[in-house]
Amino acid sequence: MSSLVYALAETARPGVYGASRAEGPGLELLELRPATMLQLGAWPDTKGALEAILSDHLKLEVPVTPGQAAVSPEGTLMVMAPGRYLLVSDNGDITQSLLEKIAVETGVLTDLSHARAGIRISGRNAADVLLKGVVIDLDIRAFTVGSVAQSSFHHVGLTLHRKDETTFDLFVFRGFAVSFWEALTDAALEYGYEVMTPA
Amino acid sequence: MRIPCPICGERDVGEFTYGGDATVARPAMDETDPAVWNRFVYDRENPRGAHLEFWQHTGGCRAWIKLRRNVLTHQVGASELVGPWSKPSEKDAQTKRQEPVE
Amino acid sequence: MSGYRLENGGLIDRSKRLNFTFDGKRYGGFSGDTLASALLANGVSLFGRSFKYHRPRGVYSAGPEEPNALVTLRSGGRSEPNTKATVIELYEGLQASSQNRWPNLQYDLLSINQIGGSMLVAGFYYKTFMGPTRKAWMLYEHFIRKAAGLGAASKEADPDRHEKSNLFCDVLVVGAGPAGLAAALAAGRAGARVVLADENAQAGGALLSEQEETIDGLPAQDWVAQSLAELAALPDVSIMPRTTVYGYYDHNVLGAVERVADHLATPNAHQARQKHWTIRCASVVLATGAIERPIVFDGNDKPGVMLADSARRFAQRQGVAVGRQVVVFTNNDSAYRAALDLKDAGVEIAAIVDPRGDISSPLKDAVQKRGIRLLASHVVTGAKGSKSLKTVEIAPFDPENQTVGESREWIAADSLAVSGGWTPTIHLASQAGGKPVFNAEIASFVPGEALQNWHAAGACNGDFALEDCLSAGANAGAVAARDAGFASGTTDVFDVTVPAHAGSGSSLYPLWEITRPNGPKGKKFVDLQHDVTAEDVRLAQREGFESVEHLKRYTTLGMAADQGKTSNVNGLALMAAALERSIPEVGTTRFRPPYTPVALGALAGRETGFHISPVRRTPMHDLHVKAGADMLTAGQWMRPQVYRKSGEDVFDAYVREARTVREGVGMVDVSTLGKIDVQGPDAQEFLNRVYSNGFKSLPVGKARYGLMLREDGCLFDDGTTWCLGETQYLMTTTTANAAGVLSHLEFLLATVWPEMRVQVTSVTEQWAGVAVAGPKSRALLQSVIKDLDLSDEGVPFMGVYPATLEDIPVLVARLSFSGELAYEVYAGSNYGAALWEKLILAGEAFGLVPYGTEALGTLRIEKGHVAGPELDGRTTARDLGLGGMTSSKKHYIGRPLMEREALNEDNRQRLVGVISSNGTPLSAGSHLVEGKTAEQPGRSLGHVSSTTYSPAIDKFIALALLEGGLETNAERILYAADPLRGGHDPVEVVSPCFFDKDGSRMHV
Repeated sequence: MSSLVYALAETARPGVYGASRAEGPGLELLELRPATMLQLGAWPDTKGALEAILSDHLKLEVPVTPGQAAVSPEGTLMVMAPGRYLLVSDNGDITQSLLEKIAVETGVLTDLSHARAGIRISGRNAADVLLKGVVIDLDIRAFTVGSVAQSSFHHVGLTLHRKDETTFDLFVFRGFAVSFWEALTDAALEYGYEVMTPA
Repeated sequence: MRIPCPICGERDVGEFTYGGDATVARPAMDETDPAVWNRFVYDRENPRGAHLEFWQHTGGCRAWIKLRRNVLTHQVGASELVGPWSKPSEKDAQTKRQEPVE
Repeated sequence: MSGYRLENGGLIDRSKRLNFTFDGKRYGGFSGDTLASALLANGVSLFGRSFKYHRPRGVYSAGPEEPNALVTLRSGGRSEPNTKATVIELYEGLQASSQNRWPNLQYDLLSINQIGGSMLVAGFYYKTFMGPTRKAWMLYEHFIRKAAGLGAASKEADPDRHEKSNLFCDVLVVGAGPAGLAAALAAGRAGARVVLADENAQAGGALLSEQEETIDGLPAQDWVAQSLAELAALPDVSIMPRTTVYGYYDHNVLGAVERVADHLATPNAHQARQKHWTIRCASVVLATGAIERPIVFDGNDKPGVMLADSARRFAQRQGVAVGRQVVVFTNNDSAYRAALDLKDAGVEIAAIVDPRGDISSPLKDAVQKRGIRLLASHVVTGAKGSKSLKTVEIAPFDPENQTVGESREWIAADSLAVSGGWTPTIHLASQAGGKPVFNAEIASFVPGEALQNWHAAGACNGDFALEDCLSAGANAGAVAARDAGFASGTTDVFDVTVPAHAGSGSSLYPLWEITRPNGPKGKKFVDLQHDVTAEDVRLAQREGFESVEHLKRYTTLGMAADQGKTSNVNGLALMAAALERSIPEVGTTRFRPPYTPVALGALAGRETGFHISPVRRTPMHDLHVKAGADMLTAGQWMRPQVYRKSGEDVFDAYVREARTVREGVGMVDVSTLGKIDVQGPDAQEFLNRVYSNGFKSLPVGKARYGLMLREDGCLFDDGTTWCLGETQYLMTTTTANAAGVLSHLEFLLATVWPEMRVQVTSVTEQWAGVAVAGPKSRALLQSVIKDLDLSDEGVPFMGVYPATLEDIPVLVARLSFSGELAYEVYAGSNYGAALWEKLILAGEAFGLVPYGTEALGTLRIEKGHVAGPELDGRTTARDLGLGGMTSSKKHYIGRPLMEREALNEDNRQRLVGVISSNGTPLSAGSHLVEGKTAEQPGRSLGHVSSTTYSPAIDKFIALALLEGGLETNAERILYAADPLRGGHDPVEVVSPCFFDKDGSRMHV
C-alpha cells in the first residue's frame, strides 16, 4: 500500500492558515481517502433490481430522488441521476463483492476510486466559502442534510454532499485537485482555516 | 440566465452546453439520400420567438435535455430529459418556471 | 471659496477628525463626511475640468448621479480613476487628485478648448475623421485622446483582493430608503429570506435628511433605526450596506458590488476591497428612489451650481453649507424644503426663483416667515463666474405663454441650487426588460410592465410623498414575499406626519431649457459629464438624427460614466421640443448595466494571476517537476515539454530524447489521454456505429485503432479502444477532444439510440498512463513484470493484458505511437507516482530516458501519424490517407455525408510529408506555394501542420496538407512561405511516413 499517493498528499499540509479569528478558524479541511469510489448504473427497467441489491448489500435504503444520499457503515450511496449512483466506501473489497452480484443485464460498475480527490470541509464558514464558487443555494432548508449536488467551483466540476449543517464532503476530478485546493483555500483565507491530518 | 434541469433543479446557464436544434430528427441509419442528410446537418430554421433546443448539463449531472426557450424574450420554459430515462422524473414538479414559452 | 462647515447639525461625528489630501494639499474633515462634503466644508469649489471643453467644474450633487466631481482616488496600484467625490467616504489619510487638467486644476492650459469650442460639436469625430480625412485620425488621435477624457487607469498591479460570491434569497430589496425599509419589513415579517442592499454606508435614504417628519410617532431617523434593529433581529434578513446592485439580468439574476473596504485606507489582512455578489432571487423590490433633475440655462455648469436637494443633503447629513449666498431656482415644491432648511441652518438664501405664478400658501407662508425673497414668475437665465459662481441672472417669466421677459436682474450668489423636478431611478427595471412609461405629472419615465418578477415602490415608481413610499413599499414587500411562497398577514399601515411646507409631489411646472429672448448665447449643458449642450441636441436633430438611439450615439448624450442620470430626461425633452413632438412620442433608450461603474477587479474577483484558471496535473506531475522538466500547458493539462540536461536547450533535449527512444528506450507520461469507460450489453454494437471502421470482431484482450467522424463526414477524433470484457471497453481519445467525444457519445445514446444498453463514463482521471517505447522496452518491462510474458507471442501487437508491476496492478497494452516496439502501462492514478518511480529505477540499467511532448511529437511526425493539427475539423479520413479505415459494409455516424462528391475530389488538400531542402527549420502554419520568392509567392496550395527536426533522417521535416496530396505532388519542390514571421524556403514533397515505412520496428 506504500505505493499509493493521494492527490493532495503534497498540497494539503496540516496547519492553521489565513485570518486569525477570536472564535478560531472558520473552517476545517481534511483530505478524504476512501478506499472505494464506485459508480453504478442501472438500465431503465432494472433500476428496482439494482436498488434492491444495493439496499441489501449496503444495508441502507436507497433514496428515491436524485440529489440525495444514504449513509450506512458500508459507505455512502449518492443518487446522482435516475439509475446512477456513486458509492463511497472505506471497504476496498466492496467493488469485487458487488461485481459478483450485479450482472451486466442489471447494471454496470465503473471504478472511480482513483479518479476523484475527496475533501471534507466543515465549520461555521464552510457554506460561505463554497458559495464563492458553487452556484447552488446552500441554505439548510434548500440544500438539506443528505443532499447531493453536482456542480463546479472555479471551473472545476465537483460532487457535493452535505453531511450535516456545517459539513460538506466534496469530490473533484483528481487532476484538478491541486488547483481546486488552491482556489478553495484562497477563498477561505478571510475566515481562517485549519488543515487536518488525513486518517 | 437560469435553466431548469429535470434532475438537478434550476441552475445557472454556465453549467450547461448548448447542443443544437431539438426540432431536427436524425434520419435512419440506412438512409442514403444525401439531400436528406444535408437537411439534417445544415438546414436550420431560426424563428423569432420560441425555440426547442438541446442542452447538456455538462457542469452537473450530464443529462441531455430538451428546453423551450424564447430567443426574443429570453423566457425559458420547462425542460425534459432526453433518452432512456426520459419519463417525467421526480424533480419535474419542483422546477419553477413552467409557463409556456410562446 | 464659498462652502463652510455649519456650527451644528449633520450626522457626522465631530469628535473624529480625519486628515486627507486633494491634489497634494492637506485638509481636515470628520467621520461621516464624503470627500465632496469635506472639500466643500474647506471652501473648495473647483473639483475638476470637464471632458471636452476643460471647463472648471464643481460638485453638482450629493450622490451617485454626480456628473462633475470625478477624482482619482488613492495612488499607485491602488489608484482608481473617475470615482465620484460625492460617494467616497472620508477616511484618515485619504488621497485624491483631480483629473483632466494640465498642468494643474487652477491653470488648465487645455481650457482653450472652450474658445475653439464650436469645433467640438456633436458628431465632431464622425465629421472630421471619416471619409477622405480618415487618415487625419491617425495623426491627431494621440493629442485628442490626451486632451479629451477623464482619469487614467494605473498601470501598476492592484495589490488588493477582490472577491466574487453567490447569494440566494427569496426577496431582494434594492434601496433602503423608506420604501425599501417598509418592503424589507413586510417581506421579512412574512418569513421570507430577505436581502436589503443599499449603495450607501447608512440605510435610510431620503429620511437621513429629514428632521421634522415622523413615522408611527417616531422621528423619521428613529424609525429608521428601529426598523433596522427589527430587521437585524430577523434571522433570515441580511442588510448589506455599501452594496450597489448595478445590473438586472435574465431570470432574476442580479449583480451587486459590496465595497467592503473602500472606506479604509487599506483593507485588513485577507479582506477583500470589494466583493462582487451574483444574487439569484425569487422576487425583487426596486426601491431605488429618484434623482433630481437640472434645468438647462446659460452657464448651468459653473462651480457653485448644483442640485437643490443635494445642497440640502450636505447641510442635513454633513453639516456643510454649500455657499454663503444661495439662490434657489425651482419649478416644483421640493426645492422650497432646501431653501427653508438651509435658512434654518443659518445659510443666507438670496432668493427663490420660481417660474410658477401660483405658489401654494403653506410654502409662501414658510418663505415669508423666514424673510426669504420669493421671485415667482421668474427664471434664472444665466450663471456667471469663472472658476466659481459670482452672479445669477434673473428674468421675469410668463408661465402661461412660456416666455422669458426682457428685463434683467443680477443677484450676487456663490451657490445656485436648482431643481427641475425628479427623475425616478428606473435603471434596474429598464435593464430587466420592461419598457418605461411616461408619467406626465412628474414629467418623467417610470418603470413599465414587469417582464421579470420585480415590484417597484416609492420614488422610483413616481410616488414622492413619504406616506405613499411607505405603504407602496410595504405592499411590494408583501407581494414579493408571496411570490416566493410566503403569505403575509395584514398590510402595514403607517401613521405619518410631514410639515405643511413639505410641498406636494404634483406641483411640477415642466421647464427644460431657459432661452434668453436676447443677449449672449452661452453654452447650456444637458449632459455635464460628456459636455453635450442643448445646441448639440438641436444640431443632431437638424442633421437627421431624430431617433433617441441616434441622438444618444451621435451626441454621446447619456453615454458617459454616469449614464445620463441627470441628463437623460432633459435631453429627451429638448429633442421632443426640436421635433415638436411629445416626450413619450420620442421615447427613451433602454438602460444597460451597470447602473454605476464597476471596477474590473470586482468582476474578475480572484480569477487573476496565479488563480486565473485551474490546471490539470497528472499523478506524476511532482516527479516531472523534480526531474527538472519544462512544464507546458496543453489545454488545461500541465505536461513535460522536455527534460533538459544541463547545457541543453529545448532542441538538444528533444533530439536526444527522440534518438534514445529509437536506439534504446524512453518513456512518456500519457495520463492525459482521454479515457472513456464504455459498458453494457450493446457496447460493441455502439462502438461499431460510432467508429468508421469495424469493431464487431474485436476480441477480449485486444485493442483497435478507430476513427470517429462527425455527422458532416469530417474527422472528429481518433484513438484506440480496448476490449476488456465482452461488454466492457476502454476507449481512448485525443487529450484535447476527451470532453467533446464524451458529450458526443452521450448525445447519441440520449437522442438517437435511447434503446441501446450502453453507459459511458469518463475515466480519464482514474488511470495513470506511461508509454514505454524503444527496442529495449520489452526487456525493461519484463524486468519488473513477472506475471506476464511480454514476448511477441505473450503480448502480441495490440494485445491488452492485466499484470502486476512489482506490487502495482497494471494494464499492459502493446500499442505504438512512436513506431517502435512499445507498451502502454496503466495503473490507478494513486499508483501513478510509484509506477513512474519504479520504471525510472528499473530503467537505469537500460539507459531509459523520460521524454516530453516535443519528442513525442517528433516520433509521431517521423511516422506520419496524425494528431490535433491534422484533425483540424476540415479534414476527412481520405484526406489523411486513412480512407481504408472507412467501412463500406456498415452504417456509422458520418458516412452518408463523408461520401459526398466534394469530400472525395482528388484536388482536396491531403496529407503529405515535406522535407526542408535547404536545412532550414519549418514553421507550422506556413503556406505551401509555387512561387520561388517571398515577393511573388503565388496562391496557397496548402499549409504545414506539424514540424520537427528528425533525428532518424537528420532533416527538418513536416506534415502538411497539400492540394492533390502525394499523387500529384510527389518529389515536387515547393516553397514554405511564412510571410508573417518571415521565411520562404524550398521543401520537397514526400510520403508522410518518413521512417520505417513497413512498420517492422514495432512488430518485433
